[in-house]
Amino acid sequence: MKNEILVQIESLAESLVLWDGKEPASIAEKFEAIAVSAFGLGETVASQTALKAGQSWLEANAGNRAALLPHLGDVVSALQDVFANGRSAQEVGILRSATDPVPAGSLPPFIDKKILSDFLARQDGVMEDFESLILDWEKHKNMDIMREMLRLMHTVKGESALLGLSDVEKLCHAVEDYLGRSPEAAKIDLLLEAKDWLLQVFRCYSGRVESQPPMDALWLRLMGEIPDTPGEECLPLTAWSEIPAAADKSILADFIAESIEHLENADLKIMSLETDPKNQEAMNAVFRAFHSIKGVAAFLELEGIRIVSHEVETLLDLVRSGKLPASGPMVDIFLESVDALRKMVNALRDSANHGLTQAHAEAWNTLLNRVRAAAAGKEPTAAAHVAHEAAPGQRLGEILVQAGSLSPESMRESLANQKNGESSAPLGELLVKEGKASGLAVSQALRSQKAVGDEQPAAERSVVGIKETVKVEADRLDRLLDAIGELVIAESMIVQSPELKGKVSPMMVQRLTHLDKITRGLQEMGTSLRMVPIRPVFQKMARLVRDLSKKQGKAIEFLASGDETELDKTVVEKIGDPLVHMIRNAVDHGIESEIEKRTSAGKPASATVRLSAFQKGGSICIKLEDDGRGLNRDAILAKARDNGLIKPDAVLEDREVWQLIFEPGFSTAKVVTETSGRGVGMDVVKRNVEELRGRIDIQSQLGVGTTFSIWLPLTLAIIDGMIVRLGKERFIFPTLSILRIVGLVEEDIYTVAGKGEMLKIQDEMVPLLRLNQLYPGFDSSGWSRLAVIVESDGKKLGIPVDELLGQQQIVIKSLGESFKNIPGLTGGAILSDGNVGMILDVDGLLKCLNQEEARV
Amino acid sequence: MAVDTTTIQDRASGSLAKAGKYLTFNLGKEVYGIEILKVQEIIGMMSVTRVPKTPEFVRGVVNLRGKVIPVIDLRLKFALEGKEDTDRTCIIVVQVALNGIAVVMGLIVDEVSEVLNVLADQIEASPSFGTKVNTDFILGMGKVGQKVVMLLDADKVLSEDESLALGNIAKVE
Repeated sequence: MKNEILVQIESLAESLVLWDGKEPASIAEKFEAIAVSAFGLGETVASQTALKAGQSWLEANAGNRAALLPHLGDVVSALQDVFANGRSAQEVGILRSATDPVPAGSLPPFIDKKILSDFLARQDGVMEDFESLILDWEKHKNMDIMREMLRLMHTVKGESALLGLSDVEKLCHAVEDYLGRSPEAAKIDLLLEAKDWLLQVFRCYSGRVESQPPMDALWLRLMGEIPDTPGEECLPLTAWSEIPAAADKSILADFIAESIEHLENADLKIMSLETDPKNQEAMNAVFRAFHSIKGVAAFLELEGIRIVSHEVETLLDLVRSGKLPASGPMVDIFLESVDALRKMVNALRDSANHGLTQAHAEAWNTLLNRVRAAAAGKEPTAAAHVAHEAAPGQRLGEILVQAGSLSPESMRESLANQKNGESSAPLGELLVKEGKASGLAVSQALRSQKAVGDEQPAAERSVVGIKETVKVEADRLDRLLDAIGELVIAESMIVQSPELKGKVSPMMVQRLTHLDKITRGLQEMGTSLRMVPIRPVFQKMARLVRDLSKKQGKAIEFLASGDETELDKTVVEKIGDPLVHMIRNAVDHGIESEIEKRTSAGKPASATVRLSAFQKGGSICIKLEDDGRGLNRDAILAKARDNGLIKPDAVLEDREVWQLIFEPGFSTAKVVTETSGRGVGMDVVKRNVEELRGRIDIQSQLGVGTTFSIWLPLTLAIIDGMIVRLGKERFIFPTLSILRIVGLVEEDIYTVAGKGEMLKIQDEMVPLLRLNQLYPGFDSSGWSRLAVIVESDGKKLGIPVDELLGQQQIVIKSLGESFKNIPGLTGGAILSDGNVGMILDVDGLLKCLNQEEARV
Repeated sequence: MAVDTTTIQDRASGSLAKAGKYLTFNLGKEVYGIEILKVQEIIGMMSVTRVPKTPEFVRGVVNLRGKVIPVIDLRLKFALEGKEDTDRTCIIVVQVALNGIAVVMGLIVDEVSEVLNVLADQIEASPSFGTKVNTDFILGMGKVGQKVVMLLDADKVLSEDESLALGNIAKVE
């Protein structure tokens, strides 16, 4: 009986490989036959699976069948595993693969594509609303919010019913039921899960994500059929590859992309370690890569990835501190870990376990043990024999020969046949036809080939598009903006040219006005192209704080403000990573774990983490405040002395002490925990912020809290500028930093020690800084009659100027690498006559003043 | 001739000027050439905005179609006497590598004269004047007909120290 079913499976595998697009029924019949045999053997799960697979095959239309093939291949190899190797169906994961098929594109055929795409385009926003409603509800428990939530769910349900999206309708209905049963007892986590599921499904329909997440368990939990507790320990394989249902899919997508980048980077750096084991820079870079991956993986609850990166980090730490040598085998372990992580991350991408087998899980477990053993000081061992896998770019024949399923001679023979034109069929087909290799072996080899080259585009699917966006190189965008800038200048030169003044006909005036209007419109559009609100980043952080606080059992209120602040797109993208690290630190180290400690210090039991963004002068500031325990100056100093970062007798200002925490490998934590403690996170933060040409200020008071301020320049931003003249030169002040402009009278100027000048404005004394003294050779044309009073950080400064030339919106342009460090200047701007003006940097000027004072 | 070239190559150890087309320009009575491939364009003199805290030979920055680029007065750079701009004064916009970064900048010259085809056997190694004159930025001397052209290495016109000094002069002070 058992042999019979194996023969049936073999024959099925063969016909799948040979399938020519016709006669779907024969394959379905084979599935049925297997189902019957399996039932006879008492393997009900396998039997059902085979039956379902056959049905889905029969029901799919011609286009979808091609997409179904690999899926059916999985089912076949799972069946093979069950009957040939005696594994239980659950262990192989056979049930899962059968119940979450949905090669996307299983949209009802009668759908109006346009209505659907409109609907889908709206859902991202709707789901964002839903999430913020859920979080509001958690905070306030206000019935208005609940009603709003119900309304929203109901609308989605209605619309999806209309469109025939029955799964969405079903889930929305369950959510409504769930909320309706007992609003007060509704579990926030479950609601968030439902929201994530919906979002994922919408993305699946719109073709942005490969596969649809399974719904049944979620639905049952919503309907109260099974208790709402997440399962305990997962099966080995699923622990490695399963995406927790609670994971936010958009964070996940970001995570995948970033991780791949990190891993690539780590790969290169590790290799450079092999040649130069003392390369601290490379070591730190590798460290950062693993730490970043670990951080997000822990947050997303990706167990396998988190454990591996955590263990590798431990090992790296030992190597970095010189406790273990960076020997060849050690480097091998690191490289293997990178490969393993890459495979796991790739597996997340198509989420349905594609290409992941029990063998992978075993290999990774071995790897993990080797990493641990190496960390325990044992000589790193060479790689154990890993189950056979295809290498990238390997040909089918090679894989088969390597796997021992085909003799080299027969491969050569078939290849020769293929070449001689005797048969135009692909090699795999040929091999099966000629009986040189079994269908199963070929299909497995094909799959392993595919799993490795997994970047291959997915089979064509019938999905509807949502609002089109075009990715444009930032460089091109910059060139466009430059061109627009030029156009504006050229236009204003024509319109204002003296030759035209008073000579043009009314018709001409009208046309010129029209031209003017168009150019202004273009300019506005151009400058808005790169600016996006920081809102999405803030929303992610809200979720992060919430999840972290739940996990650590700390009561934390998260307040965000200024999320409408617009930033350059690249800045918004890059600022997420550092913020994640900083928030994790704030929650992990900043907020006290014992409520008594807070209350005894006179603070409310519930801690506050406040994230805000605003524009100030020529900069954007992102501020993260917590009211936790604050930085411990003495502990930091002691640690820095231990590490030799500062001299034992050095006297440092608070500001300098706080900057120490950004040093790579600096941590005062006594225990390395899952989330932090190795001193990598802040190094990442500093790197990323510096890449954006920003800086970080820290203010902290022991026992009161810590405030991090990230200051970022508005590189491409438009600012309002006041153009002034001093001698022959023109300078620009950011209008926002100007407090007032006053007349300069000699009687109001008082000198200090014959040098420093102070200006008396009403009853206040403001220091004066003369640009012609700061910049030798830039002479004023005599007595400057005006002084611009500017302010930054509460400090005021007066700057004498000769003349005010007016206000203009200006685009800040970098003066280039060579002029980067000129004190008091942020950049240049192109003025309306085409000349360049220098933009003054008020912070820098204040610093100059301090230096001058120091010199006096 | 052939013998000559090999000895030159030995002496100059790879920094020898390549045969090819050179844009020649005048500074006073001296004629210089710059590899045509490094030249992006030639523009007439335009108003230059001075940048504070830079060496004297840095004239300032100009707006090159929306891009702000530094311009350098080659006369002052080569320690020749400064001269009022005339209607023949031009800016040669070159793309050079400063410390491995591609930088576009302008060189102010008295006048641009012509494009010369310099053959390999017309090139001689740069003369050595001991420490009196720094000839690092001269690749070689081209003798074409009656003319002697000093072939410039555009990448080295601003030597590494100096190109840094532009920005970091403030730090030093």
